[in-house]
Amino acid sequence: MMNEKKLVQNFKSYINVSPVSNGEKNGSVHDLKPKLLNGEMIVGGAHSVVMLTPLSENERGRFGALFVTNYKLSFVPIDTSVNDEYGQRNNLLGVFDVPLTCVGALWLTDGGTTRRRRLMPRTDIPAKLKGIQLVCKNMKVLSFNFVNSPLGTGRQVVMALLHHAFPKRHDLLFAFEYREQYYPTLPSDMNMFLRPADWKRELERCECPHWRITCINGTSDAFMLTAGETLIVPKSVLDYNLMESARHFRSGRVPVWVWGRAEGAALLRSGELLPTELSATAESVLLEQVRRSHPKLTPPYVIYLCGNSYTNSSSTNVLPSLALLNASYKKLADLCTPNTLSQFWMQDSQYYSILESSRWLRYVCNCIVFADDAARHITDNVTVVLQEGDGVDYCAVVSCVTQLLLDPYFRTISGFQSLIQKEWLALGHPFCDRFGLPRPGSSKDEVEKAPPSQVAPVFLLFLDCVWQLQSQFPAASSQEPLHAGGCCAQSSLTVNCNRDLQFILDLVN
Amino acid sequence: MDKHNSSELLNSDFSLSKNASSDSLDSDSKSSSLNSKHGQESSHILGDIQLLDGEKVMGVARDVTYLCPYSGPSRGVLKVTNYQLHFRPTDVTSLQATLSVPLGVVSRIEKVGGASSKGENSYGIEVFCKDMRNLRFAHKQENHSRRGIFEKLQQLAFPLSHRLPLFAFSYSESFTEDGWQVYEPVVELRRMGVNNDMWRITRINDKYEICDSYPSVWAVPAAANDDLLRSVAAFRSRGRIPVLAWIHPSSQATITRCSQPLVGVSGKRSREDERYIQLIMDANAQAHKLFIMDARPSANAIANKAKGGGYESEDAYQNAELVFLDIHNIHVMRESLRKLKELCFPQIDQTRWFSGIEATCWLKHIKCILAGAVRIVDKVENHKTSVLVHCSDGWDRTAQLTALAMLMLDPYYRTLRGFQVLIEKEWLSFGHKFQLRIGHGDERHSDADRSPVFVQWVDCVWQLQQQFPTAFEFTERLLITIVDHLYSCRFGTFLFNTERERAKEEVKTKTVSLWSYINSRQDLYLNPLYWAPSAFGPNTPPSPYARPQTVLVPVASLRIIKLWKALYCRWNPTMRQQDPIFQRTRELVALRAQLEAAAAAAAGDHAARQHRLALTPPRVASPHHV
Repeated sequence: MMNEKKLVQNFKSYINVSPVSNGEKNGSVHDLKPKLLNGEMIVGGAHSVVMLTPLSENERGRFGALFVTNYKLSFVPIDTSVNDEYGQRNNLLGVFDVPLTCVGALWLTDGGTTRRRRLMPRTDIPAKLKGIQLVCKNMKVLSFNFVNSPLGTGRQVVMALLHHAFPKRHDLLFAFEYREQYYPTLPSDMNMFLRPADWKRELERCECPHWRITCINGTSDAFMLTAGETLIVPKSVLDYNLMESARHFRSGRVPVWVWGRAEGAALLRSGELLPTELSATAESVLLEQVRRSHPKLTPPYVIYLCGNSYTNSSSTNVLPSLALLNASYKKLADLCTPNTLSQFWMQDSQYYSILESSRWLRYVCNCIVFADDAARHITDNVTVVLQEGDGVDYCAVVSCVTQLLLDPYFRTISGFQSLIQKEWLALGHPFCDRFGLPRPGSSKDEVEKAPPSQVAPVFLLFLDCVWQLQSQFPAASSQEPLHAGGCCAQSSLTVNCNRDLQFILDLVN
Repeated sequence: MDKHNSSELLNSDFSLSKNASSDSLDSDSKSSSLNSKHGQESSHILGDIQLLDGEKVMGVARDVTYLCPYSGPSRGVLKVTNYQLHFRPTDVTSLQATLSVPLGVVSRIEKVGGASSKGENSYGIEVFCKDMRNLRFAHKQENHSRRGIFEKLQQLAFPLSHRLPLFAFSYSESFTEDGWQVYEPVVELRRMGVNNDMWRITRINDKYEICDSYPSVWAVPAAANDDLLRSVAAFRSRGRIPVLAWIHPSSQATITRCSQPLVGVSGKRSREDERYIQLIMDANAQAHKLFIMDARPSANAIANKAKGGGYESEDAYQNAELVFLDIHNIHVMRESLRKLKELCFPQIDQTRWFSGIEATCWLKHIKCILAGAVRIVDKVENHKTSVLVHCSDGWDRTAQLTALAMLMLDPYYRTLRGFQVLIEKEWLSFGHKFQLRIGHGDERHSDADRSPVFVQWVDCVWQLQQQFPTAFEFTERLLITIVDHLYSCRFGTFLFNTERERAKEEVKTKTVSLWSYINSRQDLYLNPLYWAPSAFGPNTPPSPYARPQTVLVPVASLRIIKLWKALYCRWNPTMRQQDPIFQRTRELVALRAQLEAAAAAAAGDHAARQHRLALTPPRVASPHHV
């Protein structure tokens, strides 16, 4: 299969070694077991598997066993090395583990890195399987070689993987099997934004007396079905008016308060107006109420994140549709998941122009520019209303980044967690749709009937924005308002965020 | 806004270093030296320009407008001294437009607009700088201030073209430490274990007669006698024969450097040179092979045959393997940096930023140099094979490669002092032509010999720092300070082309060393994250994480190599680090020193207690022992 080439220190080639010499039938290879979480079980496995070193042309690798559980794909090497501990450590996952929901694409290979055929659920798999390659959503590329494993076990792994990595129903996700004991270890200053009292705490923390809490969305009169039961609205607006106005906003997303300053300026987010006859009136009525909630009665400043559908101002710097965002991310992911060494170097020579043409950094940059604009207005004591589509995607990104710029509390660990709880969970970001996972409650039939959900890495976009802020302000943990230099030239690239994403995903479920 | 950075790096520690060095230069003496010339000016304006010792104001132009590309025009007073160009806005609120630019960075000065110029600010001068910026000043036509200041600037910025001395020879500040003592060639060779069985120190070039661009002290294979050295010098371009740069402490594999062999079109050979190369190979018992790394692209190496140069043929040099590292020449690099300047200054086009960077090829060149150094490191460290490095003359690309490889291999060079030794040794003593490449005080701005070779190497060092943030004792601030004073002509360190010229001009006695300045305020440059390999004794508990690495092997990929914005884009206020990170860094350095002192004290106490316990007999005798 390959020439014996000179090997570098830590890597041993097992490709040419016959399985017999690698331990007898009862040898150590068969004792390898993955570390399991509570509620996790093995659904498939193969011994004597070689995990190929990424981008190795001469097919070096590590020997071990490969398992599929209901949570992850786990490779257990026969020999552990100190070098395995690099980067961030993770309590749920080992170095060679990949959660099943993180598996992006699965390829059949020739045993090396040459791709043969993409494997989809329900495709038939040959019993004599030489190898597979996984491209993960976190931009990891893993290649396994089954040449030495007992016949059929490779196939078993792939079948288990195909079956469990692309679940058809929401309740098949591992989070529902996970039986870890719950430890109430939440820090006392963290706000989960679950109950009305939590929102009250936030209002008091921000010293904003001109706003009130309404629980109308928790009743049968709920109009904003994708948000939690507690909303904060101008003190002068009646619940009845809210319900009326909600009919004119996409997904019933009337402007709601998310953050404010004692001086009076507040930050609100809302959905786009529907093209109904009275929608413009409904909007101006609500904005008038927002104005009255400002102690100086300053009119609010509206930022149209995806352009203003009414004035149709075609500014170039608006945020793209979710489909475009996803396409951009795909280009970026292609750049970050080279398949072979030659592809790696080919991309490398044009790295910067490919990076630019993916437009991902431009979108990150646009988000930061919007947030910077919002933060400047709020610093000048002008209330800002963010408006976008269903009010659950870019609104959350820009709103979060604005708050990170303005409020040092959100730059602490528990503050950052509270921010995510507030903007992404309490106010309802459709995580399942954006990750391409089945929606809760939908049965198999419903899934097939429902319109295809829009997959887009919006949360990752947010994390990238935060990373950019971190690299622009490495020491800013508790300082005065920051002013982001929102420019593409400042940005560089973050890669390994998706793992966090999977955590969040687990939390959500 | 410009003031912030230029003066931060060039002058802000000025007052600090003053205090550190001597108190004799108090504010009185400074203002009095100024008062004698400009007694009529009010005192707070006088306090504004900070003159160095030996610096004199030579020209003043009032009612000048500085056209800052970022904060807009501001009116003020332009002063020219024998060291700097200083602009102070009249309006107190726009003091951020204060400029203090050493004249050494000026590459060319041009008049803009003539008598017929119409429109505001269209009549004046433009100053083009070597540090990636241009300065525009507008003069009022009616007060005829332009001509005088233009001529003064020409004269003071290009003293050598006007038969005047460089400012370094007038500068007289004294420091607590003498930076000229930092590098002693024999001490450095002894650190590497020379003399030993295989290598000896020779002073054959004591009078710079064998090679006028080499240092006076060399380390050569012990088996090579002086006659052999002389004959080898005849076969190497400009007599730059292979001499020792670095020796591996355990394997004895070496890095040696030289210039190209004088092969020529006819393919001449030299038995002596071949024998000498064999001796270098034999000095390393671990390998039976020698790698000759030719830094050039092979096409250039072949083309050099027409000029009498060339490269070693593998037929003539048995056991030697020739590798071309594909690094382009000084002209290509100069052009690349010129394009980068166009991209970075004054305004940045965000929409085409990344493709613009790619088009300059600057990062690609950085990558090639890093990759070349990595190949050298791999041969020396992993294969225990000696490597001979050369390019055409062996003072540009060769210096880049050897110095970079040594930095990767030897943690000593990654300390504050070791880094100074490295520059003194590989760049200064081995004759990188700083005068020619930078053009200190010379008005021929389009001279083809100018090239940012050294800056490019400093960029490579910065890339290493980025990839190994804990491996260097110093921060990026040291690198920027070095680049600033590479041009400033305030210190004698980077003046002249060779050790011979520096000795002849008595640089060590007549000028101040940059290292005096830096070493008297070391805390400004220390890296709080530094993890010294020596900090790991045998008693240190094993860490679950990696230990500090002795050998650094960077990834030479454009995915990782970045543009050094803090250097190239520093004049643009929107491109700067907005955090007071420098302040924070210094706090951390101080804190770390405190903690280390406390830990040492505690360890001392502990040891003393152990000692006492060992002396006192056990108070209760155990019955079992009785």
